[in-house]
Amino acid sequence: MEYAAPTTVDEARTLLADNPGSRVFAGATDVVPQMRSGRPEPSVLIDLKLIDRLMSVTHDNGHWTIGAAMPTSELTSNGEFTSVFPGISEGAGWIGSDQIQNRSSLGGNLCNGSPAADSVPAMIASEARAVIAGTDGERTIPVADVVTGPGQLSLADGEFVVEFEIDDPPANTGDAYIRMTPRTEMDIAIVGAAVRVTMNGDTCTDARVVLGAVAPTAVRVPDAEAALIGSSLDEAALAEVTAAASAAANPINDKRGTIEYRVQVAGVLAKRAAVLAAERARA
Amino acid sequence: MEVSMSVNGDTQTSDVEPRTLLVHHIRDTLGLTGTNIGCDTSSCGACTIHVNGESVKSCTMLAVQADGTEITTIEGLAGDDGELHPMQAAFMECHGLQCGYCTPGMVMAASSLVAENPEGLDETAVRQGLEGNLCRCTGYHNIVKAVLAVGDTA
Amino acid sequence: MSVGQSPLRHDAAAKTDGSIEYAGDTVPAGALQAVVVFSGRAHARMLLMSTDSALAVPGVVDIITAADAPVNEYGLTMRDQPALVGVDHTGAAAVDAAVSRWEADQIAVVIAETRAAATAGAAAIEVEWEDLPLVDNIDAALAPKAPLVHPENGLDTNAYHHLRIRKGDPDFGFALAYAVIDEVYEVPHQEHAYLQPEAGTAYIDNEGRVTIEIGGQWTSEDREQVAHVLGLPEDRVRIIYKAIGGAFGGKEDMSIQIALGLAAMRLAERGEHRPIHCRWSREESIVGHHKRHRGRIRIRLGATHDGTITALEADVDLDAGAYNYTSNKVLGNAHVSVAGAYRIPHARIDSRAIYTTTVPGGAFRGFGGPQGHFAIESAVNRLAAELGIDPVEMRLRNALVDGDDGITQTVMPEGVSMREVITACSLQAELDEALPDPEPFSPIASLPSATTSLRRGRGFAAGFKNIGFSFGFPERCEAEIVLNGNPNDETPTSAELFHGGAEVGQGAHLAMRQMASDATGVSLDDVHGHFSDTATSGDPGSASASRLTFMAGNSILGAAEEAEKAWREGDRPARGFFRYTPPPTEALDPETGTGAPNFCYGYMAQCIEVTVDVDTGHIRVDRVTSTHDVGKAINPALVRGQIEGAVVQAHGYAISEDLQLADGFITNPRFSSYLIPGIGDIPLQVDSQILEFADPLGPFGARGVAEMPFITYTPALTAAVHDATGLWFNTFPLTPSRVLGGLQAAEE
Repeated sequence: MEYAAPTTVDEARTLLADNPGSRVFAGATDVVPQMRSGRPEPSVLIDLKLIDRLMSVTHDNGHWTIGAAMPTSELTSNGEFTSVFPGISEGAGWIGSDQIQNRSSLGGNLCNGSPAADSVPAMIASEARAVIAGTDGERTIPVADVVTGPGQLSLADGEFVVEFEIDDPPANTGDAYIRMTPRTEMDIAIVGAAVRVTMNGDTCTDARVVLGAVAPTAVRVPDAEAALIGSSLDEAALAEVTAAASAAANPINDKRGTIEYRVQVAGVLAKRAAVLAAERARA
Repeated sequence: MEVSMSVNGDTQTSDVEPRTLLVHHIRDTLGLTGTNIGCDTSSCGACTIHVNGESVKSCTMLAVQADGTEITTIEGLAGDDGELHPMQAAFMECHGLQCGYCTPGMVMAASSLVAENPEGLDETAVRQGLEGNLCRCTGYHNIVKAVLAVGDTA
Repeated sequence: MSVGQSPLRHDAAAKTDGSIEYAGDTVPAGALQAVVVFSGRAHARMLLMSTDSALAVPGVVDIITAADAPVNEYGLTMRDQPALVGVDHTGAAAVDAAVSRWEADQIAVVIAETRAAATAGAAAIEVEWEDLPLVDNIDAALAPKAPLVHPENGLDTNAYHHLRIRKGDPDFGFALAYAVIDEVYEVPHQEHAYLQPEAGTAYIDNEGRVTIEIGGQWTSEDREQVAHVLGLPEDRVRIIYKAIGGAFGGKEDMSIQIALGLAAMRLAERGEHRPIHCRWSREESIVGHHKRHRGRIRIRLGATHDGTITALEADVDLDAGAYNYTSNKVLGNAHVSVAGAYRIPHARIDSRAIYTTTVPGGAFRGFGGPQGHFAIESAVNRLAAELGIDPVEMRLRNALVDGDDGITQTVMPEGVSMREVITACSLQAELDEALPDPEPFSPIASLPSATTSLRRGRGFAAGFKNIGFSFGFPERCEAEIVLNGNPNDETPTSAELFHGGAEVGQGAHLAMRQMASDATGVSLDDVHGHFSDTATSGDPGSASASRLTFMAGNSILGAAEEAEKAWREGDRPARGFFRYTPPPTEALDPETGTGAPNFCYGYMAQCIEVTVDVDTGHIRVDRVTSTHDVGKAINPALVRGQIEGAVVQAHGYAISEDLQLADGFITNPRFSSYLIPGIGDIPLQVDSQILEFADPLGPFGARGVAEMPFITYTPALTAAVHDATGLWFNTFPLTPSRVLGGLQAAEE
């Protein structure tokens, strides 16, 4: 195995194209444990952490651009971003402990392809886009379209995520991401729920509900969104959100949580996330 | 590959294989065995060090990625005169250790936590800040006390 | 006086600055690396093994197999395990050495220039196996015509060890009862998860001894087991303990000691004199060493209207796994503790250790006590609830007092403080105050909670644990003290303490130095310890059974007295050696269970307050009151450390630690999937209440404390969860899935 540390996107693109079996990585908080667990080694490990464009966050012309390899600790400590997207910041902030936060990144969290990736549901709820570099240039697709199944991506050989774009939300919008883990922290979600709502007074005018860890990929729950829109998040609407989220959950049974558990708690978390997002939208 | 890094103030240049983890480089090549290995899954935090002043689990970095960085391990935390860092002293005085195997990683994570929170820490912040470090002996209460003794808001 | 004070640990500086040396740190220059190869077969007969390809791997120096073991059998209390499974061996074994009985039976030791080469060599070993039927749980093991895991023992059952208690007339006792509960409790495995995985270095020392530097719990016993397999007299083997990164019972049995010893001996015979180093990964550690026993306990308990217990019946089945390790002794403790610290006039108890083709059960903090107490204390709480009696009152009504016979129909050792401990705990826990309403809380930062889903509750449990070896096992502890000074000195200027007792993190070496200081009158700073090297220290017995302070203290007091005699006679330096033996204990009568199993007990009680989120199944422990009669706290800070540490280990056992097995294989041998408590999971408040009712035999009155805070935690917790939710859980860990599943089932 060889190691390469390009300093430009073009350089990285060329390395990836010229070396079959190579792969990019950022913080290595996943790739290193995976190599140790016996997965085949890549031919060249291409470190993206030295490319400035992948390591910065900017806010211009009504949208945010977040480098795919930037440490999540830098994003969560960005006061302006966190005040606008508290839910995305929460999700990014729960990828492992403080030490991991100094290495982990949004790009790595997404491209690992885990259905339980903490930063993904809230990004989807804010309709974030991924800018992808490949042999033929760059293309932009919704974050929701990047992961197609556990460990499976829609990216072609030679492609990698450069940065994320998120538009400024409308006024009176709030988001939230909450999750359930068997252990307090330092653990992988067995259920995650992101909700983003826009409020007009007491009435919800727009809503996105996204679940993590309960299906092969993060999933939107249109029925829960429909229940929220036009409601004042009253008990009846929240009961519908709960039922819709549970109905949308299609989880696996594993050591960490049973199917029955994940289905029920998906509803509980969607409801709690909706309440929290609405509180933030009104604030 | 040749890599060069500052380790506890000394420049260390070595030829390393790309697959070598930073923690193995520190222990096996540089002979600094205070940084411990307790798991294979980046769960336990026993190998926590400082890279450019920030706490990092040295099992989540390749040695080649540390090229050009400044690294501090537990051996480099004390002052040049050998005087223990306040966090080391607090772990001693508050009985924040038993078998001691998690201690270097705990001390490194805690010293960085305190440095990053100059306005002070409360108990909740200490618990959240050390969630990446496992201890099987102490039950953590004396560890919280030790960190608060250095970084208390009061 | 040093005893009763809390001076700082003498090893604390080296542990905080990284300079202390664990066995994995000390790799001598030029050392070879060894990898221990596991069979990877739960139950199979080896037909053929070839090491030819493995020996051809570049860097591989040699491979040790069964053919290299002069005596291919070992075991701490029964030699039922081959050192290395193999088809070609010396034949000197009481056990069929060609059979793998669990996935981590060792088949070879590959020695190479680097760990990578050794790993490659291990992968190149070719083995042919014939699979044998799985016996992967106790039901399979007890089924009619179940395959026998150890046919060589001549028994027609896998239930190879059976203990009985027959006391009074249980039928009559149950006829007197107003209420009877009859429940089945399931207890899970637990992994020790000491932070330092097994590691060691072997070489031939300058006196020609096979020397192993490692971490363990009993130098002399390690030496005996290694010497037995190597076919050497014990004095040709030397065990040295480096700093030990935790043990908790998990380093009481052999892991890599024998593999390293064989490797060093055989390589030296072949002219290779380089030291050999071996270090297990976390996964190798979890797969490769024993666990706390899982098992099933059926219990029937009856009491009169006022809560007086009239009769007990219990059937205790523990899964011993593939080999005995200490299962027969653990079973004995579970057998006695399933009756609790109560007066029980009529009882029948049958306890069995059962072989299966899974990971062996063995020593782990509490040693059968947690399993027995979970059943009896849960039963007492349930019976109290059924009778409408306060659980503390119920316990006080039945608690043993001085002069009472225990369940084995012999008088309890003097110093029974069960009632005092229960009362003190109930007062400290402020049981007469109602619990406040739940405050909104999030057990985890990432999950804000709704107040409406929170329920509070509190639970109580009490019990006892023996100090020292039980059931007639030869108990002893040796110490040597040397007093230094000039011929004209009236008092010594310094003292040397030679002791084998293992410092596994608990602070034993400091406590020993404190006791030596008081015993000799030499100030603590001038008492120098020389520890845990069979070349210089005697037999300490193990760092287990909450015994080391008690036993080492008595040996030190004796050695100090001998040394002072020599001092008064003018010896400079003045030497004193002492071997302490406590009052003898007895094996229980095979039919009635009568006998005196123990010479000393520690008594404990705990109260736990919880908040349960009934929408997510998450439990937060708000407060733990842990009350212990320690006789005398030699070092109160260390005692509190034991209490706080044991409470959190027990918290993991009760709530999150869920070892999974499939077809005899552990499927989550990692810290990412086997979840020990992190700093955010622990009880918010632990009140350690230390009582000091001096033990008549204890040094300075001391009893022991290491295991007691673990033992009663789970039944106190399940009682608190019942108080909060109305549900009794007869099994655990109480993971969110299990709690929510239970709540849902109760609704339906």
